[in-house]
Amino acid sequence: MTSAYHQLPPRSGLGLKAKHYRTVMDDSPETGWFEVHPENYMGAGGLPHRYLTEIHERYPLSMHGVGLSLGSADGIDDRHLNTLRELVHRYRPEALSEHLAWNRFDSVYVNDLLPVPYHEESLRVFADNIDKAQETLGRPIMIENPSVYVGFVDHACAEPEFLTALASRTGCGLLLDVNNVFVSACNLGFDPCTYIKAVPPGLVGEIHLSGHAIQLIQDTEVRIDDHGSPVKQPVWELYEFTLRHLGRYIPTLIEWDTDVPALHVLLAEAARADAVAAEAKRPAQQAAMA
Amino acid sequence: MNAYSLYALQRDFADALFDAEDDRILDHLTGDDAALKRKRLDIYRNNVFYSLTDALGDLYPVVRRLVGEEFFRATACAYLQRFPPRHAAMVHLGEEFPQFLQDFEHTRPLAYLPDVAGVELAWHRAYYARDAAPLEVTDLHGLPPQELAAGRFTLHPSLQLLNSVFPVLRIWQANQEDSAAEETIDLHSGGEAVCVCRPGYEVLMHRLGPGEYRFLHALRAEVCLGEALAAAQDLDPEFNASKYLAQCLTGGFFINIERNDHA
Repeated sequence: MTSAYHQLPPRSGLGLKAKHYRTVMDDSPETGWFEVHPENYMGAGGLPHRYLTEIHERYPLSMHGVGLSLGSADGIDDRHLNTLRELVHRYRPEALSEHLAWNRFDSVYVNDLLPVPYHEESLRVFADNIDKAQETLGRPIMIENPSVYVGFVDHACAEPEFLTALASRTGCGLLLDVNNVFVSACNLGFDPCTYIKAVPPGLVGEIHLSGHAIQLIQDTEVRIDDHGSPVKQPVWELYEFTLRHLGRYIPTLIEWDTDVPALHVLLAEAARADAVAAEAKRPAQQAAMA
Repeated sequence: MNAYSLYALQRDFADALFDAEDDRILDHLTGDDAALKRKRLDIYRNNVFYSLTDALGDLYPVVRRLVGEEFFRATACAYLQRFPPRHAAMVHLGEEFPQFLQDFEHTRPLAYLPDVAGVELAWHRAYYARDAAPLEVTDLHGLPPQELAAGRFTLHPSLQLLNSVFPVLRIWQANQEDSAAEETIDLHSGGEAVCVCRPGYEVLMHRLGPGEYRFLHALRAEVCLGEALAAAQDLDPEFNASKYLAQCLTGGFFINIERNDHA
């Protein structure tokens, strides 16, 4: 099945970490595609570009930005957008995505993906910034739902409705991070399945899965999206629920960014994602035959 | 239209991240328990400072090793307050760190530290610099001596020069992760000049004699070869012009020679 948002193959992929460059080059592991943060390739030259070039010769590539700050009320930083455009022109990745978040205020960049309240003004800000980004980059991008730890009193709508409105205004696709849905649902107290059911299946082009940590804060359990452990069982279950809701396979990425283990551990997680996806397909086919 | 604009919210949120006392954002977060809201905000603050401190530690592993993890984290936090990141790409983080170490009251007594940080920053810059094919000896064949002397070398884009009153390269080498040496280095055993260059994919560190540093420094200032060699010999009688020129070519220090047609 083709997608309007990417040319990734219908199987799981892995985040490409610098510590795995050599293993990937030497072993050419069986995986569908690799994803990188373009911000890690914003130096002019050297080994990172050499490895990325050689790895992209063998695998499809997804570029998943963390620095564009699409939620910034004062617009996009042209300098960053232009650097991103150069990278996109140089590598021509099979998928391109960013976040429903902001990480810059005035001239200061905070190295984190910060949330916004969902209301008419923030919708306009995101829509304007995404329009500009897509125009500059010359292609549609997918937008990822964030993991959040605080709620805003000004929220006027739920996240899936906000994302849907954004997609209809800008033509962007959605990158559905199932772990983030689960983390935010736990932290803000909503039902993750209700969230998933509100996502229009046709908009989703990519799925992310990762581990998270659990912290006790004043006897309240808070889930922290740290990408530092295996995918948790309830997130696997939500992934299967998501694929059943979407009614088709969506290229799925295993993210693991802190305490990165050996490559075979990531490959095992990816294999599990493929197994869950196969499981999600089965009853749907039986139902179709019945 | 909201009374509280998105711009104001982002200003208050960002201010709260860099100043834990600033809690204007709290009124706009859901929940009745201010202490709990503060702690939830701490998650973002920790994410920001931990990730940036880790990135700074990856750039300055020798400084981190010399001052210890705890001291490094405290210093990094003070640095990030003073010089918050101006780019999303981490490759630009930490450019003011050597200068900061020189000015910061808690590191000011460690006079050698800024220069050691300077070596690490030079390594980092060389690692990410633009790729360029070095000039080969054969590229100079057939060039008459007087034309060679009047030519101006273009240095490799990765090439960095440092000059310290401390033995910075010995300190840097003794504190590499794979270094097992338990060497005691006398800080007053003499300064070192260093050339950092990445002609291929590996960053190489070269210890320079006084004439060699003078020579490369002159080339950096776009002085022609003949004058640069003369300046080096004036300063350092032991400087061997032809031998060092050959070493520079082997080291991949040059990418081009601009010939002076009026010579």
